[in-house]
Amino acid sequence: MVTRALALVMAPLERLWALAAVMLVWHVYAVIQGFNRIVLPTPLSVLANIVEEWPLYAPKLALTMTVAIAGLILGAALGALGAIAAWISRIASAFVATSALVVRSVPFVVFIPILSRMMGYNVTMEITIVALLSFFPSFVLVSSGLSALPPSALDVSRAFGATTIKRLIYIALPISLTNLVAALRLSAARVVLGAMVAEFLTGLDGLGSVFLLARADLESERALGAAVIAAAAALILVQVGEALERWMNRRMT
Amino acid sequence: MARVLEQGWLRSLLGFALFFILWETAGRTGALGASFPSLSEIATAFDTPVKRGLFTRSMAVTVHSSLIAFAVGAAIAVGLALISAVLPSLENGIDSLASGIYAIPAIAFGPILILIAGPETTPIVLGVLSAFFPIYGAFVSGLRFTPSAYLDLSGALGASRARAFLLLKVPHAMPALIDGLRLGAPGAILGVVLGEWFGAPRGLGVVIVGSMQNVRIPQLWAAALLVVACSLIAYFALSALHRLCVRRFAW
Amino acid sequence: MSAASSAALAVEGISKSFRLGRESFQALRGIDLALAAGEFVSVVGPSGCGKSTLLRIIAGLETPDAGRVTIGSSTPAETTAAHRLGIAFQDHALLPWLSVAENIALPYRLAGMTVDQARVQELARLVGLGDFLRARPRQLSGGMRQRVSIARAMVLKPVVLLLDEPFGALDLVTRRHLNLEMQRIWGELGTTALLITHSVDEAVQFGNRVFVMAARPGRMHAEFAVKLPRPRDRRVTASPEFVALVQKVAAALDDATAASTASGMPG
Ligand SMILES: Nc1ncnc2c1ncn2[C@@H]1O[C@H](COP(=O)(O)OP(=O)(O)O)[C@@H](O)[C@H]1O
Ligand SMILES: [Mg+2]
Repeated sequence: MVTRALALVMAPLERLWALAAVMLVWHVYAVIQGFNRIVLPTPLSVLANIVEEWPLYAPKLALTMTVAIAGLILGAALGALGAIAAWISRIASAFVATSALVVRSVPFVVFIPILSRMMGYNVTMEITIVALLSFFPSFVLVSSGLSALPPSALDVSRAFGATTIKRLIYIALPISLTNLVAALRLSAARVVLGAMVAEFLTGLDGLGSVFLLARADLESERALGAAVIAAAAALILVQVGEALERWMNRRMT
Repeated sequence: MARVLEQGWLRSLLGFALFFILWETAGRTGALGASFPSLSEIATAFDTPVKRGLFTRSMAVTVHSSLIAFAVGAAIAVGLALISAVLPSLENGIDSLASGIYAIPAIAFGPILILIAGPETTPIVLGVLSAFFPIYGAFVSGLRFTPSAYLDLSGALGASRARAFLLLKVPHAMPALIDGLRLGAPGAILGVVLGEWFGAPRGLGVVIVGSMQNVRIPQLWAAALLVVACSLIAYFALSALHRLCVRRFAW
Repeated sequence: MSAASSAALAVEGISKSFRLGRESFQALRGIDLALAAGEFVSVVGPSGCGKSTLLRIIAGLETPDAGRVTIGSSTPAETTAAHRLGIAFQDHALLPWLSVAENIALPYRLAGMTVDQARVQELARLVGLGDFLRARPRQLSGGMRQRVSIARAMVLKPVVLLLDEPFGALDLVTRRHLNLEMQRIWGELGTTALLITHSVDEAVQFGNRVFVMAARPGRMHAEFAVKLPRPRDRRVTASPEFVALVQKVAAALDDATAASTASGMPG
């Protein structure tokens, strides 16, 4: 009984000790250095600030996450459509190979300043940036799913005389759904970054612009508050993505 | 065989030529707006010694920071991966720390790093954080999914755990590690540039924000393209290493 | 020629080579086969002799280098395009995200026809899966999956039914049981059918005729007529006639295997 209870207490600890350690190091560092609240706030004071100023944070969090999720879905959908178009027209391979390379090696974030110059400092630009971030993973993963359809499934569709469209609907799309969800999961980690960087660089409203204002006003607590909120929101988004992927994998196998 | 290769070369060459011609025309005609310069316009960003000097100095800073960030990030990633493989009780904690670092947008670390590390070191630390995850993730999965036949072999030969680890698991995980490294290198560069946007004194990132704010379009493009070029060079160099490694350790 | 043109399924002079690296390797050479309407023919042969390749050529999934296949008066491509071919693959090839009922109904969907739910359920019952309509393939045993694949092969009332080792992955007991059921089902449908198997027992149990193939290159080695009464239940399979025929076919198969090895030796 006691060991059971102990195990229940220990289970989350086993995963969370590292997070707790980071918090502790932050706290001890802030205290030992004897920094005052303005230079390096403790984790507790940041949490207190979040609670206190929640009405200020909430609309900014909502803005950033709306843009991030809208761009994520838009980009992934366009990527999947592009992959399907490339698959139907059979021009995929060259495009896909290049895109896969681009996804792995090009730091897209450096294009944010360029895009914001080209499109202006507005929400359309912000969504475009986020969508661009999620477009390529989706295009690449869905294409690779479509190009690696199980031969046996293709045999079935051919032997029963399916047209390309029927093959797409009943075989290719269900299979590439798994890849699409994997792409969503992969991009979930990057879209909040994209949205916040855009806000940070252009001053568009959202969590990213809080950094900018707080820095100007030397309000460290608020900058850290926004950072903690953004971190938590991004973690949750990634968790949702992972849960979706697990569900889809169970559903499809 | 040689002829096929030649044709492949020819085709990619043609592809690139077409790409650059399209870019040049789009820039000259202004089809994509005034902020989309032609290649020759971008080249004007390098046309005086002063301008060239700015780019060489900035690039030196960014590359230097990126190299440090990459080395430190790789060392931490490899160290933590080995620890989590040797001490399974720490595995879950390290994993959740790593996935936290992965999921949290790098920019969210900016404010605290500015306070702790200062604006000159922040780029390096952000570079470390963004190089870390791909390397850790790849190496750990290489270490964890050792083919069971290898383990049966070491079991049947009565190899000690340490020997099995060093002689079977680590070599098996080498290609995965190098793959992680080649993803980590662009990650390091991205982190460094991002960090430079938090008030660093020098670097390509600084040039990028500066030219964005002052609407110096050719300079903005030139700096961004230099960052991309650095990433591509790092990625291709490590890809070559990856090919060697696969030939050596995989079958 | 005249025999072939009146056949429900005619295979004439089929040859097929595969490229193996730089060399080419002949999988089938000069295969002839003619099935009368409603006939059930079995083909046995050593593993790798080209049985699946032959079936895939008949189904239009591979193109032969020489020779031709005629189903009724159509080519394989015409037959599949008209959705009149039924095939059960060696690896059953069920779609893991579809239920049993949906897998059986898949040919309707692929053909763009409305699903005849009554027929799907009837076939599921026929193969003994009436209670598993909503199950997913991973929840089924190997034998049950094979039966789903057989039901799927028959759902569109094909003019010819191709079965590639449909009982291959099964244990002996399940196999016996399924064999009897299959015979009953086939008896009810009366479709022209070609069964690929590596079990002589099975070949004789099902076939009006049994062909024995030899390997490298894959070719017809011997043919036997099976004049035993149906249904070939345990009384028939225990009869001396059945046992004698099985022994004869098995001897031919041993012979074919020896011939394959000999001709397959380099030098
Ligand atoms: N697509 C292919 N490419 C190359 N070789 C093949 C291909 N399909 C089958 N083969 C070869 O043809 C031979 C016959 O294969 P198969 O028809 O599957 O034999 P069986 O079904 O009798 O076991 C085998 O040696 C196999 O390796
Ligand atoms: Mg076979």
